[in-house]
Amino acid sequence: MWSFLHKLASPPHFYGISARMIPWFYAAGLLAVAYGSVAGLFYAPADEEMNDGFRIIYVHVPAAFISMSAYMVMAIGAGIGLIWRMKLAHAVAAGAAPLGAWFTFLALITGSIWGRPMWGTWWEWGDPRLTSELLLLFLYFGYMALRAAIDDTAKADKASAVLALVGAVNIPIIHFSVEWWTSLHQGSTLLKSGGPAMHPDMLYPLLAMILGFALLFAALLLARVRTEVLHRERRTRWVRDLIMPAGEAA
Amino acid sequence: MEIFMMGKYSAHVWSSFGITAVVLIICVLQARRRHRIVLSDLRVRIKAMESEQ
Amino acid sequence: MSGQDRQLPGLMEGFIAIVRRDLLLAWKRPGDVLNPLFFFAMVASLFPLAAAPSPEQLMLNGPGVVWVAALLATLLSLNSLFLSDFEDGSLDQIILSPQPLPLLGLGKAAAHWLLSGLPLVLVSPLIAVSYRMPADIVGVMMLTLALGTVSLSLLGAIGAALTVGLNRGNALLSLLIMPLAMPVLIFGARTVSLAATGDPYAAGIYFLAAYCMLALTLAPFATAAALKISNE
Repeated sequence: MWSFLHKLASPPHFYGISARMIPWFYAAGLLAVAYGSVAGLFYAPADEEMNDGFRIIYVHVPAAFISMSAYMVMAIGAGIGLIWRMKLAHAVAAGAAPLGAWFTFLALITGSIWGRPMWGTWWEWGDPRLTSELLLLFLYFGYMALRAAIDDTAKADKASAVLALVGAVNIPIIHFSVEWWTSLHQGSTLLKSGGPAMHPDMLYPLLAMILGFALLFAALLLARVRTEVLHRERRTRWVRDLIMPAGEAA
Repeated sequence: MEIFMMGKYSAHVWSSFGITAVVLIICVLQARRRHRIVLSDLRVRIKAMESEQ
Repeated sequence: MSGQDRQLPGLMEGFIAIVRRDLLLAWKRPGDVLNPLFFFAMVASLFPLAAAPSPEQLMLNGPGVVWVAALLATLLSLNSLFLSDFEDGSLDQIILSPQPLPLLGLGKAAAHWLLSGLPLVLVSPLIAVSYRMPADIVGVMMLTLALGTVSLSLLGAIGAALTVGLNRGNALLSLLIMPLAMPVLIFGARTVSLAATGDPYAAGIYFLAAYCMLALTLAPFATAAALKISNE
């Protein structure tokens, strides 16, 4: 197990393996999303309160789930990179941030579209989840801005890793404070996703969508980390041999 | 065509799914574009280095 | 214990030395202390001038405005926290000193609070009076500001350490710290609002105190790590 992980962490090996893995992740992710979309849009029974409007959760909930998981991936990568000085872990953190920001953006937009008929307004500060997502987006922006501001890659890795870890400690506190604030806020309508007992015909497409989004995220993350690895290893022998096979040498 | 109509929420549901598709496609294209840029960058750099020697 | 160990100054002495040094430096350049204070007072007076609120609205929104102004003023003063040390090379000396770096980072944050947070707390009653806040609410506001600005100084020290020596550190620092500071802002402002409307507000004070304790224990270590990385 450990030797496998150790091998995976070596850049040339990762570069080769990831190329073979990415198409499978894309295919499996698309399959799950296709099933989830068709079943969710056409076969799941309409919600009693929200009617067909509830079908927005089939994209909103998976996007919100991935937006938070991406931060966890980023913080864990940052922690591993900082403690064990593993370069690949830093590359994972660097790749996860923009993807997490995109999924957070997606969760915000779909949440806002959901809110329009529910609350009669595009944005409701009284909803703790949407407000937390907005702050999560700001955290991603801060992380990416810090990374972009430091030219030296190794230094950018370590500085942004500290920020990611400080952010990870703060996220539960931010969520708690937003919840406390909205519990006092008058007239707040909480986003009701499902309720305690969700009909299986509603639930399974949702689970499929979450799985599909996770697989697509994994594929996108691998692709980005692959690019990162190639760029970071640009001065090494294996990259040279990869770009310029022996026969082609000038 | 009737199953595509989501009552009065039709526009909301379809725009959500549409935006999701667009964002996912942007993510894929962005990842590919970055990879291509890094690759072509490397080619130029390595060619320049080899010809110097 | 060997004889050499005993000659090293104690932990407390190192902490006090760095606080005293920063206070002395500020004494020579009072503008660094006064500018954020003026900034705080000006932002707080922008709101009544721009929004022209009725007295009731002023009382209702006052706590939020004072808190936003306090956050912005703190961010403004954070920029220079490590900058002059970085430029004249004394940051190298601080990092190389035998004293534990987190403790020295805590000293820098403590000096920052004494120079920016504490004056802000002391000036805030003037603004509260112009916002027609009742006297007992002013006490609650000062307490939340005191607890909150300690947290902001500690949190801000991490951001200042991460961005020291970067060209565009100025705007970047605010971008990094603002989302992290949101819980302090929310609890600070809401607690004062609750007190103003006569609702129970103790939970907010407890939260601010708990956050302050958490920041006191964890933030200096993050600041130390960030300083080492930035000064490589």
